Amino acid sequence: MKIRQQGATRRARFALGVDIGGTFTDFALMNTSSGEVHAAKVLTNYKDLTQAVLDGVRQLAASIPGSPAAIERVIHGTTLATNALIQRKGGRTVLLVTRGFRDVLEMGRESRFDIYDINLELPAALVPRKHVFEIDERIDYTGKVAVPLALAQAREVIAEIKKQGVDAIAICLLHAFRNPQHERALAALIKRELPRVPISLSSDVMPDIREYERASTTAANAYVQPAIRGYLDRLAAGLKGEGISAPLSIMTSDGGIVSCETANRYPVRLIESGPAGGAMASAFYAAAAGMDKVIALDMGGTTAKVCVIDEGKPEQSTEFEVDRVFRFAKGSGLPLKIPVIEMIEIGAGGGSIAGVSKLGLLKVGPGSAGSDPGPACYGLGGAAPTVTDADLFLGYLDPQYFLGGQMPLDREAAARAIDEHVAKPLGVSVLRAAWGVHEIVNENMARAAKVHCLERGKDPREYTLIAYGGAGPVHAYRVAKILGIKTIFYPLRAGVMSAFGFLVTAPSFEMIRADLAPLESADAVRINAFLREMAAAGKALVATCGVAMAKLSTVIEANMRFAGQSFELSVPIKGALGKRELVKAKQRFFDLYKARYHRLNRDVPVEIVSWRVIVKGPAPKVKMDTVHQPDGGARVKALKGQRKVFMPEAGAFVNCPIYDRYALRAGARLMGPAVIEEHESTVVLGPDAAIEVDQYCNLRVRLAGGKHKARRVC
Amino acid sequence: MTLKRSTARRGKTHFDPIDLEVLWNRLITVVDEAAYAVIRTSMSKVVVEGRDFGALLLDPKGRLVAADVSIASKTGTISIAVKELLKYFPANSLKPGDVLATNNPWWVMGHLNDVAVVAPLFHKGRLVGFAECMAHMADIGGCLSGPPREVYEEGLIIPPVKAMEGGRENPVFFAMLGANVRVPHQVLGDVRALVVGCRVMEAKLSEFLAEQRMSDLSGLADAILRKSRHAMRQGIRETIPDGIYQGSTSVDGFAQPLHIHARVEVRDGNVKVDFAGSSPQSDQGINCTLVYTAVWSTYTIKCLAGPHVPNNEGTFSPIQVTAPPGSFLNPRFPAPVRMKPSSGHYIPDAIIDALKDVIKDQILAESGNKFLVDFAGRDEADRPYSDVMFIMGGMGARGSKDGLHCMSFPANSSNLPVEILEATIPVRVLYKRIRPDSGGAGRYRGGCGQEFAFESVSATPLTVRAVHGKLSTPPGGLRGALPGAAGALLMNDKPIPDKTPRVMHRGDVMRLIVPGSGGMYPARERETAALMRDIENGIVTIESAVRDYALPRAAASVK
Repeated sequence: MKIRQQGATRRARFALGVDIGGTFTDFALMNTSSGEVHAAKVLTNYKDLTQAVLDGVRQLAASIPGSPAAIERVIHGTTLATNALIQRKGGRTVLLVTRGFRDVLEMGRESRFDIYDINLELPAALVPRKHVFEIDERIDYTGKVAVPLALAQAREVIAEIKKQGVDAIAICLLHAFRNPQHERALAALIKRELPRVPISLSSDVMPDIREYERASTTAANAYVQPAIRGYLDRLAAGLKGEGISAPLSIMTSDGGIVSCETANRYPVRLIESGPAGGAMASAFYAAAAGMDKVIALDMGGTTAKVCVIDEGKPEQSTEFEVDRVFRFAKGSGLPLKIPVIEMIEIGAGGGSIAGVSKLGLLKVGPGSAGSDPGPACYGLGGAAPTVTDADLFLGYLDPQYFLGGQMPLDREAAARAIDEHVAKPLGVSVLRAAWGVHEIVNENMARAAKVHCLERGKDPREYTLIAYGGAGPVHAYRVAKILGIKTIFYPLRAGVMSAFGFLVTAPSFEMIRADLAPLESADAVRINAFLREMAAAGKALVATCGVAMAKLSTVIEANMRFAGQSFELSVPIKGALGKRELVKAKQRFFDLYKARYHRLNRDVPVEIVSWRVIVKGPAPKVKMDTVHQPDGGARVKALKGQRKVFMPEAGAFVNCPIYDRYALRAGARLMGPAVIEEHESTVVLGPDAAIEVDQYCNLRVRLAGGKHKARRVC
Repeated sequence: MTLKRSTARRGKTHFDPIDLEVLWNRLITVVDEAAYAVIRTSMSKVVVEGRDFGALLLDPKGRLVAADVSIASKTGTISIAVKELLKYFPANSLKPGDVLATNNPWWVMGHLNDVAVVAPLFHKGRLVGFAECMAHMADIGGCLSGPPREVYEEGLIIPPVKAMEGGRENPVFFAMLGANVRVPHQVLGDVRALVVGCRVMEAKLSEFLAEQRMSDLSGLADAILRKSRHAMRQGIRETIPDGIYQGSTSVDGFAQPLHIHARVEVRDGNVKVDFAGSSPQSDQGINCTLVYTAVWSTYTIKCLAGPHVPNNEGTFSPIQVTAPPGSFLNPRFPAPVRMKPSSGHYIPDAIIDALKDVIKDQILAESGNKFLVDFAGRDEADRPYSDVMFIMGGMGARGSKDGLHCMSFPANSSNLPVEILEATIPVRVLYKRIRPDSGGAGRYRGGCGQEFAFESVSATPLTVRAVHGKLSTPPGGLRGALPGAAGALLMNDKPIPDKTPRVMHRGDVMRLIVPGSGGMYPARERETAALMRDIENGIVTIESAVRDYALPRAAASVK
């Protein structure tokens, strides 16, 4: 993707980010001294995920001689844990629970995610009822032992488990987050009998209150553990075989990096590593370009993800759902209580299928043609019209320059699919139908982003949109118009944002511990004691990434709420915890609450529900790369030519200039309408766009404003 | 190739199917924005977390055009508050900034706690519609010491009244309301939150109309209602053949069971549900006003015939619901109505019973509903505490699949984690487990209910009221399947009646045995693999497999 090849000089040092996605495995190899980034994409090999990684490493090694030995860091993100959960291909897992609560997983939240759908289904529990065993013991809500652990009965259960055979064991006892002694004692008993079987304790994996979510998370951790262990071992060995001696680190869902050792212990934390990488890259650009309020829009082949980034920090959450049975519906998946970057996912991607709804109206998504058979224009047997087909028909994509020309597209096939499945049934022209598909997928994304902002008390109009993913730059302009957003930022390397994001992320680990108490009567001495313990444990974990203890920083936050509420806000604790700091924390809670809900009720007491300790290493120093700048004689002409592109403002196809993104000069200013092409994506801009190219070939686009008036095309 | 650009949409009545999709969704977003404004400004748990509220957009004729979709609890409502209020305050008398209020259970949602606030919406000086925002108030006054025999005892009745006039609060209304409720801060806060919701809807609707260069909603509303009505009728035609069908069910009631009789008449995509023959109104608060009866009736038809048609007047218009005045499904004022769910939740069973032989797969057997349990007491330091939880029964077997365990139907809610319950209320939960064999045997097994037991660990008295409504009769199976297991409520192993407050002392144990649900098709038709899986997982015992599914004992014991 760069124009000048440098080769590795003797002093060059590299960092490698590798992201295994659904279709492609992406690579970003950065020369850490120059900031130069080499990108590569290899088709993901589902039979052996390590294969694509090693293939890509070989490819990069061939083009940058000496690079393997000069790589100092390898950061990896993988969908392996997610796939194991969704496809139910994890190990044979057993769950031990308190007597009387065998059905904790089976019952779940006892709630229907769709009130009208009488045929609704929920995902099957990861551990079937027959593999859940009850243990005689009880701890009360204060952490006191109410019924001692029945050792003899526990031994019988363990003997039975041993007889049946097991790959992993999860233990989740009631109130274990307050007192882990029974869970630990059970683990010790098991270790004696089954020394090789990995054990996940709820008091270790996620010591938070609410037994179902904690058990679900602990079971998921155990369930994917055997697969992750084998995979990371193989990958590490494979990389060594390629001459990379740098340690392997792993990206986590909350935008942190951990060692293989930590990843093996808490594999459930890897679930959303790819999207987290994209969000971290957005945060990096936001900080670098001085953008305080950013909405990141990552639109790929099957879905779009939206993430809010305020002051360079992506929104965090500890609520996540995997394996949603009814795609994208809240409550239809398995809940995981893990630190994650908060994103909403919408069934809107290049492969989203268009059709006619029961109401006789045009619908786009959430069903997707994926990459196989893919959109009709791929010519791989897909007959259903997709968003990509519409984009191609409207002239936004160049049939000869898709994926940099690697994959010619068939415009006629796109037109036929749209005509047959959308235009004819609706009684409109093919053009009206194609524009309709484009406009409705944009409406869907804008609506989801708007609701996401509303829920957080944020106004999207104050934000800058960062667009990436294969389809993000094609659609961002119109999405911004609908949301009333005035500025769009198009970073370079839209196709490998996640892998690039891995390179700008700091090692870190977050711990949570529930300790429900009114703020007024919080026992600072006891809390300080466990916070110190948590910090020490976190430091030890982050140090396994090879960071010196002295360079670690610790952030403490209290999750607080008004008494009786069931959701919390994270409030930073800035000094030593004592009366005075608690008073300040309460004020900070009020401020945060007011910012989100625009109202306060000071009469209601405030509670602390849980504590978060985040240990962070230093962020890698990343130099942005300016090498794309064509020098002197080698200047490539940026204007590639013109083609007919549909602009609703004109209600017609207009002659639109087409630019080569890599040939744009720093400081160049262009006006829309314009189409700017790069290998993995295309930026499409309407007439009111004022485009500015920065020195790193990122585009900053300002919209003159005025709502989307010319949408009225019939 | 070009597209014609339309000019201003004034008076436009025809929208192409793409424009209509876009505009319709944007209109729903307008209503959603109002709903989020209510959440942001409310301070009560019922609204913010229970999401027990709704935001509706109506046209100048009082027809529902769009309801918020992000909040499920109150949508599907057939509030007639706007139409009734307009009889007291004619539309042409209303000025910008006026806001009306009422909580009449015969107009809003069936009991006094639900307060509706209605505002005329003006755009460029013209009345273009109405916003209705309503919410369940944390308290509405009334008698707590005994069972009310009249709605007067159930709390403050808010007559049609202007809560705001020309943008100014009506101080008399707010003072009266504040003086009659136990938590004035929360209730007045919530009413103000509803007013904010209406204001936001007006601003957003005005923005929408300006952006779309439309002078009012009339053309768009007509198109939305027409499409919805068409889709709903189409769904009914495809699901329910024309004919007249009769069905019935019963609920426990107090002194004697209450009978629900449904006559369902289906003609070319229109449905008339009439409840003639149902029991007369009760002197206990288990009466359902016609509005509430209609909510569960239309909900049922929608589940069966058009689950994903958006909620508006067009969607509901093919469904007519009537009940004889003086019956408990259409009681006369001033009947008490506070505990309406304990009878109203069984309306769907009677309608499905009527249609059970003519609907194919889009159907379910009787469900086990749920216990609503409320706790109240004072701790040792004399501080008051209270909370509510739900314990679900089974959801009936469906036309082509098993029922779901511990899943409440028709009303939806979620459980309270045991760890949270024990940290909030002085009880220890002894067990919370699925009841094996409680799902009715069938080709498709009913979902199982559960058994939940807790012990008081409190030194002070703890008052507990568990409400279910139908424990004595088992939830019926359909098409030759067996019923699910009936339920029970026990204190220290002795049966006690539900819906009645009980005082528990330390060591007392309450057991809630929640019904399972009915199966679908004869049990002998169940796939052996499915039956074996149930046996392995302890959902079906070997005894039941042999007795109810006719599994040879030898086959069962091999396993």
